Amino acid sequence: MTAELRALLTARQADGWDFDALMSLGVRLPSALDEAAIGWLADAPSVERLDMVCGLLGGLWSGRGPAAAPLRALLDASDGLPLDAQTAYDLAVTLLKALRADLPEPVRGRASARLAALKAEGVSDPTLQRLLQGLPDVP
Amino acid sequence: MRRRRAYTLFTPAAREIMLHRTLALLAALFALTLSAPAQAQGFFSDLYDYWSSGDMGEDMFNAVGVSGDDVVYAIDNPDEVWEAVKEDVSSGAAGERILNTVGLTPEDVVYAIDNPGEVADAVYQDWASGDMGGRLLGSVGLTGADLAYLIDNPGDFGQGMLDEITSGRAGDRLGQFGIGLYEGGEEVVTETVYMVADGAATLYIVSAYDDYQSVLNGYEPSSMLVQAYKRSDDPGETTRQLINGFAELPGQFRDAMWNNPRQAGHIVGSFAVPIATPKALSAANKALSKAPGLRVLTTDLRQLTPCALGKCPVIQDLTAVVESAPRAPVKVTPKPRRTKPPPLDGPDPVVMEQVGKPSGTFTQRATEVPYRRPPEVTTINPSKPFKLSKLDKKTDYLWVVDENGNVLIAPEHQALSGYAPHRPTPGVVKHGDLTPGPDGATRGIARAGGELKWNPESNQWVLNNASSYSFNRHDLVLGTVENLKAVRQLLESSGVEAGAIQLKNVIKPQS
Repeated sequence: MTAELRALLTARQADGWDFDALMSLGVRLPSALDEAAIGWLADAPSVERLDMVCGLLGGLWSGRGPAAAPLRALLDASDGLPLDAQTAYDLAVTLLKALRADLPEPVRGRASARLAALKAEGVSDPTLQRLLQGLPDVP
Repeated sequence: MRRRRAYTLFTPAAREIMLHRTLALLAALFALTLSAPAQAQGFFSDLYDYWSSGDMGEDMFNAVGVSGDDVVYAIDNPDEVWEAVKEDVSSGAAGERILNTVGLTPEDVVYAIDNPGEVADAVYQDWASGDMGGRLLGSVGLTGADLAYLIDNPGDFGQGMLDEITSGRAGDRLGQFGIGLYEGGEEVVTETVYMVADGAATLYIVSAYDDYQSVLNGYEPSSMLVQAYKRSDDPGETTRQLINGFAELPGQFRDAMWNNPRQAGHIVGSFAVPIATPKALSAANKALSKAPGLRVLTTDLRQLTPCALGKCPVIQDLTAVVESAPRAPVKVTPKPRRTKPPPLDGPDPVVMEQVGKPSGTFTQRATEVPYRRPPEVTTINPSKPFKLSKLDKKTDYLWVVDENGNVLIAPEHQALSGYAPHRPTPGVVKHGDLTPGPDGATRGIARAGGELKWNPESNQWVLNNASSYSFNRHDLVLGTVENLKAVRQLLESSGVEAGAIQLKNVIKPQS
């Protein structure tokens, strides 16, 4: 299923994708596929891929949240990308929800710091900026 | 008859609808004992008139093909009637009457099984024209929900009916129900006769007040009558027993409906007091007329049932005292009655809370702004009823429940109307469009959301919770199947044929 998910994401990126549809897909898929999705992002990191993966993770992590390894992998893959307003907001929401999970301190601390940084940086879109600032720092 | 069909032929979901309707009737009867009918308005007053006029009892008997006169005759000729009932059941005539009640023959059922589409269309046309509304629905007490199930599941319905009839199960259960009905009616009449013999007459004192003793003390004559009836020095205990009896009745009836048709019939028969009692009293009076001096007392329940403490009206002419037995039945003038309860003004607040608390969603997309209502959207609530038959089975729909408990349904794609052409997928509708935030800048507040899609394999509409309003909420609460059940209840209370809706929880559990 890992290969199928990667192929599907690649096809969606080429043909056009919908954030809600990716989230709905993630809700239905096993949570363990999160590493496959993040691996697809890590293969060719880009802002668009990160946005797509955030949508998928929004569904995949809607249950009990991530384990340490995939969250660490997401932080690694997204590090250094020049985020636009939408992706910055989506990544912040993804991290916020991930922090609900029972995580070891190193990765929890790293995710919290990244969330704080996203909020501090601000984004260009005023609505997303307002929403981003409204997110709590630590759940 | 209606109860027979509910028991034998419907799916569990459809059965639930029928059960709720039956329990609602019983609850209404119970409510009559808790309120002062003389002061009651609207539905309860009409229902009381329906009951006290004898129409309800008559209808109950008519439902199984007997009249009030038949009951009186059965009391006088029990052996003959019992033999007739047995013959009716064993010959299959009773089962055939099930079909006749809804205007069908066994051949019709076979034809319907072979030609489900044609029959469904014909039934639909009949219904859409309104002819069926007055004829079928009115005559057997069906609602649109039942009808939609019939239309959507003609083969299932017909096969189930045929199986029940050919196997004899329907006839057997009908017979059991009829026997119970007879027993219940007989018991009531017998008790009535005993009451007459005691000099108590047809009298019930029921109070919802804790201090029922004070209430009863205000009704010395009635209190004496209760004592005479129960041979008790504690009329309050009698009241308590009566209230408990009414309170337990819905549960007893529910169990009996599914497990013991005879007992179910017995309970229904016990409610046939008004139709049986005047005629039975008449018959009893004839018999008692040879006992000079024996008093037959009747009274109007409305003069005696509870009043506010200390504000009881003065009872005038408490009892009609008949020194000698009357020769004619008690004359009751029926009043026009309302057959349906008045619609609720809005969604049930309890169910609304069970759908979910109002929440925003984290899902916000700059490319989707502005969020706004699409051209085609339907608002559903008790004052704006809706039928699933209006939906296109080839179209996928989105739904949300807004803060006020309205269910909003819209086709997911509305590009043809020129809606939202700027979006990555032009014309696509988002859940947030149904409940937009201020100025459409964000997705707004809703209680829950999801999709509604037709499943051709199960022949049902499937209601799921695939929406940010169910799994990406600001309050981080995840939707459950219980939330979906509440949504279905909301739809059901708004006239939607919700019994035909299948629920699908797509959200993974939190732990």
